[in-house]
Order: sequence, then C-alpha cells, then structure tokens
Amino acid sequence: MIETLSASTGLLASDPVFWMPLALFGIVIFLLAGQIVLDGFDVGCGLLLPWLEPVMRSRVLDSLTPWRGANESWLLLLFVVFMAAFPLGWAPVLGELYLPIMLLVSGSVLRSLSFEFRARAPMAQQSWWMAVFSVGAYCSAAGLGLWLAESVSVLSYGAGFWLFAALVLLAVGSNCILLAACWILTWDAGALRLKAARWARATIRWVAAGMVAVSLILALTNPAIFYRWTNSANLHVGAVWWLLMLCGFVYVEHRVRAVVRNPAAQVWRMPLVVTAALNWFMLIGLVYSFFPFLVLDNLTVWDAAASRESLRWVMAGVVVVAPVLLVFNVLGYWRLFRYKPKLQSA
Amino acid sequence: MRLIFAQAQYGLLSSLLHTFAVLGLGLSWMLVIWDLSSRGQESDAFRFWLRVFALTAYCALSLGLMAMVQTGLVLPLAVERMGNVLGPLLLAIVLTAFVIKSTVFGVVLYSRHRVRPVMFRLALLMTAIGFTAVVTGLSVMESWLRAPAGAGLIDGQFRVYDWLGAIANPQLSMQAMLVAVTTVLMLSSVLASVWALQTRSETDINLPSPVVRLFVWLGLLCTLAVLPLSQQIIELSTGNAAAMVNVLAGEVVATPYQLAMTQFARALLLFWPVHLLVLIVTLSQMTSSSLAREPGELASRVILLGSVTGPMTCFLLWWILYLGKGPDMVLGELPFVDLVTNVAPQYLLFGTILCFAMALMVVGGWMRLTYQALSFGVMTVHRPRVLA
Repeated sequence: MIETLSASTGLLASDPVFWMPLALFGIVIFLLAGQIVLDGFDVGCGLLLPWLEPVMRSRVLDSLTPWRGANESWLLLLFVVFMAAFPLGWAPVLGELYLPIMLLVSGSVLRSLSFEFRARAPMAQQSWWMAVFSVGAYCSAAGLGLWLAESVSVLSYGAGFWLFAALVLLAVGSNCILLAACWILTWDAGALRLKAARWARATIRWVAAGMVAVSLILALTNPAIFYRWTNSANLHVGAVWWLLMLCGFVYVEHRVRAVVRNPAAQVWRMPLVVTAALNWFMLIGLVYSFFPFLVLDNLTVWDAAASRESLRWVMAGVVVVAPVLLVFNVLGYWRLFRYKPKLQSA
Repeated sequence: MRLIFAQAQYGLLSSLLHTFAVLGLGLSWMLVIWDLSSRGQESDAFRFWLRVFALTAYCALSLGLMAMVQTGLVLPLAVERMGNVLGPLLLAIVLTAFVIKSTVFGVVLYSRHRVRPVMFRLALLMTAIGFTAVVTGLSVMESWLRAPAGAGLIDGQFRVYDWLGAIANPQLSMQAMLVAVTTVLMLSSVLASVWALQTRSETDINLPSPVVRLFVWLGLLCTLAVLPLSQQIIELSTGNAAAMVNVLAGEVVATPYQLAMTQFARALLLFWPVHLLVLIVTLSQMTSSSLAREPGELASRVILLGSVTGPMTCFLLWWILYLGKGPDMVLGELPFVDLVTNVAPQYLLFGTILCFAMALMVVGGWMRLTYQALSFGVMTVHRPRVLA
C-alpha cells in the first residue's frame, strides 16, 4: 500500500518529503482519536451535571481530577500539530468551520478554567463553577457535532442540512453521555451506577443512528467514497466492519441492561472499552473514506504539508517530546482502570 | 465590519494572553528568589503566592489555546503564508509548556512535602526556566510577525533559510523590553493590590517579605521606563514621535491610524501617573513602621487602584505596539485586512462576543479567587487522587 501511495505521489517511500507528512498525519489522527474518546467522557460528565443531585455533581467532577490534565491536552496538541505540519491545509479544512471550532475551543477552555477555579473556590461558589463546566461541555458537544456535520456533508445550508446537523448533534451528545455513563460504571457501586446504566441505555441507539446517518450521507453525497466502500475488493471488509460495529452496540446494550436489572451485576470496564472501540472504528472509517485527501478530491496530505525544513523541526519536536507526554498520559489513564468498585448483591 | 471584529478578537485575546503570561513569568521568578532567600522556610505567604502562580499559569495555558485557534480562524491566510515559520515555533512553545506542566509543575504544586527541599527548589527553578522559554517563544513569534527575517517568500509562502535570523529578528529587542517592563509592572500591581486588601481586612499585619518589597521597587523603576518605551514604540510604528505629540495637542489633522494610536496614548498618559502614585504610596506603606498599629484607609484605597492601573498600562503599551496602526496594521508583510477570513460577519460577531465573555470569565475568576483568598486564608487546591 505504501508503494502504491509513493508511486501515486511520484516520491520514493524513503524520501522524508513522503513519509514525514504521512507520519504526522498519523499523529494528528491519533490525537483526534484521543480527543474524541478521552475528552469525550469528560464532555459527557459536563452534559450530565445539570441532571444530577448536587452531591453527585461534586462526586463526578472530583472523580475526573486524576486525568483532567491529560484530557485537556488533546485538543491543543491536535490543533498545534495540524497547524505546524499542514499549514496549507488549515484554511481549506478549517477556514469555513469558524463557528464549530470556536464553540469547541471555547467549550474546552471553559471546562478547563472552571475545573481549576472550582478546585480553589469556597463552597458557596462551587455550584457556579460547576454550571460553567456544564456550559463548556454543551459548547464542546455542539462544536464537535457541527464540525462533523459540516465535514461529511456537501449539502448547502438549508432545511436538509440543519435536519442532518440536528441529528448529528444529538448523536454526538449521546455519544459523550454514553462514554461518561460507561466510565461511571467503572468506579461507582452506588446510586449513580444505576442512573449511569439508564443513561447508557437511553443514548446508545441514538449513537448508532448517528453513525449510520453520517456514513449514509457521506457515501450518498460523494460518489468516490461510495465506490471506495462498495467496490468488490473492499465490500467484504466493509461488511465485516459494520458487523463488528453492530456486535459492539449489541454487546454494550446487553451489559448496561444487565446493570439496569441488577445494579450489582459484574459489569465493570468492558462497556467503556467497547464504546471507545466503536468510536475509533467510526473514526478509522471516516479517515479511510477521505485518505489521502484532507479536502476531498482537492488537497492531499502531501499538498498541504509544510516545507521540508519546517517538517524536520516539527518531526524532531514531536519525537523528542512525545515519550514524555506519553508516559505522563499513560500513567494518568492507568489509574482509570486500576480501581474496581466493590459491588454488593441487590 | 469584518476587520473590526477580527481586530477586536485578536487584540483582546492576544493582550490577555500576554498579560497572564508575563504575570506568570514574574511570579515564577519571584518564588524562586523567595525560596532561595528564605532557605526553604515555608510560610503562608509563600504558599499563597504559589497558588496564585498556579492559577495564573492555568489561565495563560487556556488563553493560549483560545488565542492560537482564534488567530488561525480569523486569519487563515496568515497560517498558509507564515505556517512554515510559525508552526515549528508554536509547536516548540506548546510542547515546552506541556512538558513543564506534566513534570516539574506538578512537583511544585502538589509534592512539596514528598520531596527533599533541594528537589523542590530545583523543580521551582525548572518551572521558572520553562515559563521563561515559553514567553520567549511567544515574543519571538509576535516580533517575527512584525518584522519577518531569516525567511524568504517562495510561491506566496515564507520559507526559512536561517532559523537563528528568524529568532533574532530586528523587533525582538523591542519585544523583549516590552515583556520585561510589563512583567515587573503586572507583578508589582498584583503585589500592591493584594497588600492593600490585606491591610483593609486585617488589623494586625506584619511587613511584607523583602522579596515582595524588592519587586515593588522594581515595579516603580519599570513604571518610570514606560514613557521612554512608549516613545520608542510610537517611533517604531510611525517613524516620528514628535508628530504624535502634535496630534495629541490637536495641532494637526490625524490620519486614521494616528487617531487610533492617539487614543491609546491619551489613555496611557492618564493611567501612567496614577500607577506611579500607587507604587509610591505602596512602598511608603510597606516600609512604614507604624503600619501595624494604624493602617491608612485612604492610602489602601489609592493602592487598590493599582489592580486596574497596572494591567491597563500593560494593555495600552501592547495595543499601541500591535493595534496602534488600526486598519493599516501589517502582519508578515501583508496588510491585516488582506489576511482576515471571509466567513459571514454575524459569525465573527458571535466569536467576538464569545471572546469577550471568555475574557470576563478569566479575569473575573482570577481576581475573585486571588483576592478573596485573603479573606478565606490560603487558597485550597484538591490534590489529584486515586479513586480508591
């Protein structure tokens, strides 16, 4: 596959001008995957806050503390690496996405600051900062949803687009809530556990509907993508892909239903792992649909890349610093799975 | 309208980022000197300023994300044209900030009693050095935008042929001077206003640490340097500071950019003497031996003005340098107006409102938490903990 790609670009596979943009594109996708899942459950907690009792709100936010620092780094790194590695892609990819990106970034900043401010505020002000955190989460979810809707759709702004955007917004919000609910199942053994399972049940079908809608719109409005997924060479891969995703949804629904029936059911981290995998499957599918283009049929990864000298510096920076950040993040997230709640039979 | 909204967003977020970044820089070095001079002896005051530093650093980091993305969205063509230079610089800044935040900053903030004093001191020093590197990187970027050097235009894109030349660009010295002056100004302003609040809320207080007094003294010197510095900045922008005096006096008809600059210069002339007075009164109070018995009501009110005059002086210096030219502002050898995005003005208006709301929240939250901590004692912070 690498040879085919290098031949299509007219570059040798060993040429840094070929592999450096490719490697940096991989890093951008990795950061996007982290943003969607690991920042996703953070956003989901913010979406749920208004619907929780005050005591539970504090509990949920306090539980975010160990990996909050790691969660907030994904978005900043994503944009910085993209800007540094693909400066020519910035305007075509993000230039028209002013509103979604502003919402996404404002939401992230609101959450980060309110979280830090809350940690230092007296009791009387805690509820105010929690409300700001929640507003930030709604902004983030809206930004992410609009970004996805505008990226996959070539529909012009009209009733059709806004209908589709509304469905995607609902699906993205549901996805964040699903991630948060599955995350809560990994550490809570009390009343919150039952609530989390109910939220997960209520949202999982919307997530599935959103994923199907995004895939359909993407394929039906872009003939090249439709062909890519349905030609005889790829059809069986696509079929297995969708089957795996269907199994994933059924599995998560089955496990959370078990918790709804009996909160003491031995359900711990698998729903979160499978939900994260579903998100990554969807992301890989989208990337595969577009690759090697950043702007479909218009701008490839190599067209958008920075100059060779700049790419060298970007690559060197990423290679030197990535291990430090990886160790920090892995240590942070390791705690996510280290704790197992003591479940008592009902 | 696009230009106004774009400049409002760019000016607001970048100046706020600059303000919090220089305040963080000042606080980090003050803490290093404090720790060295007190030989590691812990005090409530030291802990308080450590928390203020942490809060400031978080604000700077969050504003950095917002300012970077917002600049990229408002000026997408600037990224396309200057991305080869700004991209690696920006990446270096962000990666440095993250490495510091992930490693030594955590030790400084949460692990003081878990490590040996020498390790804590080392972590504090590394944090200050890291913060300095980040602010230097920002200064290089900002100064390069005004005076692109070490790079040539090929197919409408800047390509670097000399990184050293790009970093040591002709505007860097001016930028470094601005950063140095505003760092001490901001720090002295915060020190003075915290001191004033403390004298108002407590009846029996001790004289502040010598390090605090040292920085207020330095603040006074830097305030005196503001006028010559602003003259330098105006000369740099217009080539003739004397012409600005004529405009200020109303003797000549001003061009639009002279008009914008004149308003900023007028405001600076209003805030500057007040801030000078604030610092003189602060120093007289801080060195007064009778203070513990009878803190002066009027004096503390005057000093409280420092919480506004100091930041405003910094903002105005920054605005004169960046936005002083108004519609004639140039970035990377292209007029600002040519770089502005073509999205619908209503979206830009929405973005501008969002930026102002964010600015209000950051400044309001920071001031409230910092100043109210004096009434509630040392600011608390939840340590990261494992769920078990």
